[in-house]
Amino acid sequence: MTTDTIQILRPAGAPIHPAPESFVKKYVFSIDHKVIGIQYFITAGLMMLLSGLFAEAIRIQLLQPHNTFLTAQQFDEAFTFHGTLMVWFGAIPMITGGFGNFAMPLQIGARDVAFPWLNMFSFWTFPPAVLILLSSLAFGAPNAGWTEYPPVSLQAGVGIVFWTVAIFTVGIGATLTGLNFLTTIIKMRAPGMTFTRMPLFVWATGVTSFLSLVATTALASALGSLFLSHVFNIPFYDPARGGTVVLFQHMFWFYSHPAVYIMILPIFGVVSEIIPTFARKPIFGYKLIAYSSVSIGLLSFMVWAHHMFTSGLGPWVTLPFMILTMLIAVPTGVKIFSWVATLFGSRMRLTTPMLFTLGFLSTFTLGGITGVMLASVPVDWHEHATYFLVAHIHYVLFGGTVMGALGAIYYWWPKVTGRMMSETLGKWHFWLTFILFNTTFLPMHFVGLLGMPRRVAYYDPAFQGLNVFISISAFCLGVSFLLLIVNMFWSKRSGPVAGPNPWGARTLEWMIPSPPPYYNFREVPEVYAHPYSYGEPLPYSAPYNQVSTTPTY
Amino acid sequence: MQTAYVADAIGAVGAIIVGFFALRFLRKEWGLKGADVTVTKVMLTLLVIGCAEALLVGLRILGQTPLSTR
Amino acid sequence: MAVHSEALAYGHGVVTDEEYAEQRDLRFLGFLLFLFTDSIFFTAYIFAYLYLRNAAPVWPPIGVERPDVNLGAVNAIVLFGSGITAHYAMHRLKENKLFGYIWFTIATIILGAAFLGGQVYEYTHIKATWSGSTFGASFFTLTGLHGFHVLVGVVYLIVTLAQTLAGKYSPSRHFGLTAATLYWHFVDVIWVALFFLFYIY
Repeated sequence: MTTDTIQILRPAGAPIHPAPESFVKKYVFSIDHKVIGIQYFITAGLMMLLSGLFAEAIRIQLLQPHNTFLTAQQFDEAFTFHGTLMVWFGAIPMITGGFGNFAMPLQIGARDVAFPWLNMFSFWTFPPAVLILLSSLAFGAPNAGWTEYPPVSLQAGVGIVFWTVAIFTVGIGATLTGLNFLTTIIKMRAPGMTFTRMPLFVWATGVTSFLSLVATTALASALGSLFLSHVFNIPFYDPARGGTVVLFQHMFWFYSHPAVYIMILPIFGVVSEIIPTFARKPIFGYKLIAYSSVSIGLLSFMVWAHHMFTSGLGPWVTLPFMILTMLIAVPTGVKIFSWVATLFGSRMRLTTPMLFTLGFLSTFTLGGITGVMLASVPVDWHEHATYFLVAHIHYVLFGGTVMGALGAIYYWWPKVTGRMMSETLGKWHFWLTFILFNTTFLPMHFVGLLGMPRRVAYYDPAFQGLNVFISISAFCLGVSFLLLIVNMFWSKRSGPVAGPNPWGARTLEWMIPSPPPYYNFREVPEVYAHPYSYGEPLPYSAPYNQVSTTPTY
Repeated sequence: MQTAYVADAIGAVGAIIVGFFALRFLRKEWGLKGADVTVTKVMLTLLVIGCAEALLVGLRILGQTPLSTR
Repeated sequence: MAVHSEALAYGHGVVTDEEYAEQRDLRFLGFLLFLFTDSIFFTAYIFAYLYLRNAAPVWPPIGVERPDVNLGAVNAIVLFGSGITAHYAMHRLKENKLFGYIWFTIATIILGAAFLGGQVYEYTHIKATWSGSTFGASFFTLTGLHGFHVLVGVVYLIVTLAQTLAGKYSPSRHFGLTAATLYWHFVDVIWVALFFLFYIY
């Protein structure tokens, strides 16, 4: 393996680190954003599968109104781990650390992120945090839900300490990643790439990075005070000594609401990439989509108390939050209309990434609608902590984040590995996922409206029919993920070679070989326009001249 | 009681000295441009505010707000 | 005293002026973002303090005494003074007067350590405990967090001082020193807020 002898020109701010030689420097402690992205993807993927197992355990327990599969304590631990693993160890690392790391620098024409060593350090906060969290299972696991409200969370033993330390640790990585990405996007774009010529995934990643930077630190304060309350008996949340539990909810949700936007904004970005590519049409409303991301990011800091409508806040608090929450649906709606307008009158190529994106459009919109319903205070008083809420969050998180992430996986897989995935397996995967997702989570709306609370191991026998239906769908949905795993292995073994641009897309990552060489761009092109004007020539100074024989991994 | 007056005096005098130097630096850098300089100017301004606080405390104009029960 | 000049190696040989300027640009923004995020951390606990204070029927709670504001003012001036010496040190460095830089930095470190000493005195003489009341919880958590930052700042200054003595920095290439000074100013400014919130308000 040799480095190119051709002179490699550097864009602003990116000295080329020399090619790594040893196995450890190439695959374990790599400073290459592409390798780090893959590391995040694998680790987060494993955590999501593990979280899925906890979810299946929940569904087995809920097959009968008074099942003995899990004790009540174990059931509580199961939904706690399911939520915790999915949010902080699954969705956020996969989307920001995985997709953001791999694709964003390529899309702006950079050779790496601003601080590659910090990037590697950020990743390596992740596996130790996982170990800390999972080891709590042996010492008394946390069991007050992924939200861990005091006083319940302080009553169960040492699990809460593991929980706070684990999330604090992975949060350090997330904050530093946000810092890294924001600096990269501000300072290291290719020459000629003004903000309004950036791909929409980069806009989304930029706003998300700002959210990561600001909100995660607020979470650290909530975790820190919970830790102090348990270990040092500090009375932040003890009413007997002047504390109040609502304070934790404020501190926690001030972070956790932006967190849900961290989980969805990059997905909006990916959707904005996939739709024009497979509709072969210029995107409708580039600036609308870009600026709506910014307004969603800003508004996300102003709506947190809609998670607290039933906590005894007065109407002078709840009503403004209700209005702001409904308001945040507007920029999101702008995006959805823009995407639909892009599809209108187009000739869609229904490849697997496009199918998942279309599925995303329908399921996420439904989730958004139930969100606007829940934003109304009287409705929330009725539906808070019922399965209606569980349905809402899964429609936006699974139907939104996971569906979109699956689309992104099928979209970028050829770039990452240099091989195509099987379209047949992909289509089977999509249809099974889409149908089984809806049969699993749609009935939850009804069972919630009928009065079944969430986070309960035992329920009224009147709900059993729907619960059995949901559980069976959930088992099948879990099994359907195997199709993706099989597809990945099949592709590595016998998938057709992808070439630089199998989809005919227009963003910069498709102008270089698949997989990209360690230095990404032999010559960083100049950018003349945003990449969504299908039909026009590519807006770069030297597309497709990045021939290189340097293998990467 | 005595220590309180000594502390007051030290605090007030110190605040004047430190504030004086901070203002001098600010004046020297006021017209300059650039990210570094802007950040330094912001920090120095806040420092001057801090000195003003300490001065007012030393002169017993500001102190602990007498709080009524509520 | 002349300053050691010329290039420092970014791990792989001589770094050109252009490369240094690019890296410095990135690192300056990154450091500012880090300070921004650190200020959010403090802001969150300040919010908690104000929330708890507003919810309390009487403040300070029964049996608790607030810290002595006059001694607090002296301690605050010590810290603000160290901010001035730190600024003066950077001036000296930019004028290629390394000697001046070193002495003013030592002054900064001494004043910073004196501040920490003052805090220790405060902690041992105040009539409040960390776990006894929400006042103690807020006060010790916030000022303790700040004191920790001061300690880190003092260590940071000592390390950069040692690096300077070893010849790492020059009048044109000294981002490490700029960062350490910025961090010190940040710590200073946080105290402006905390002094007001706990001693005056």
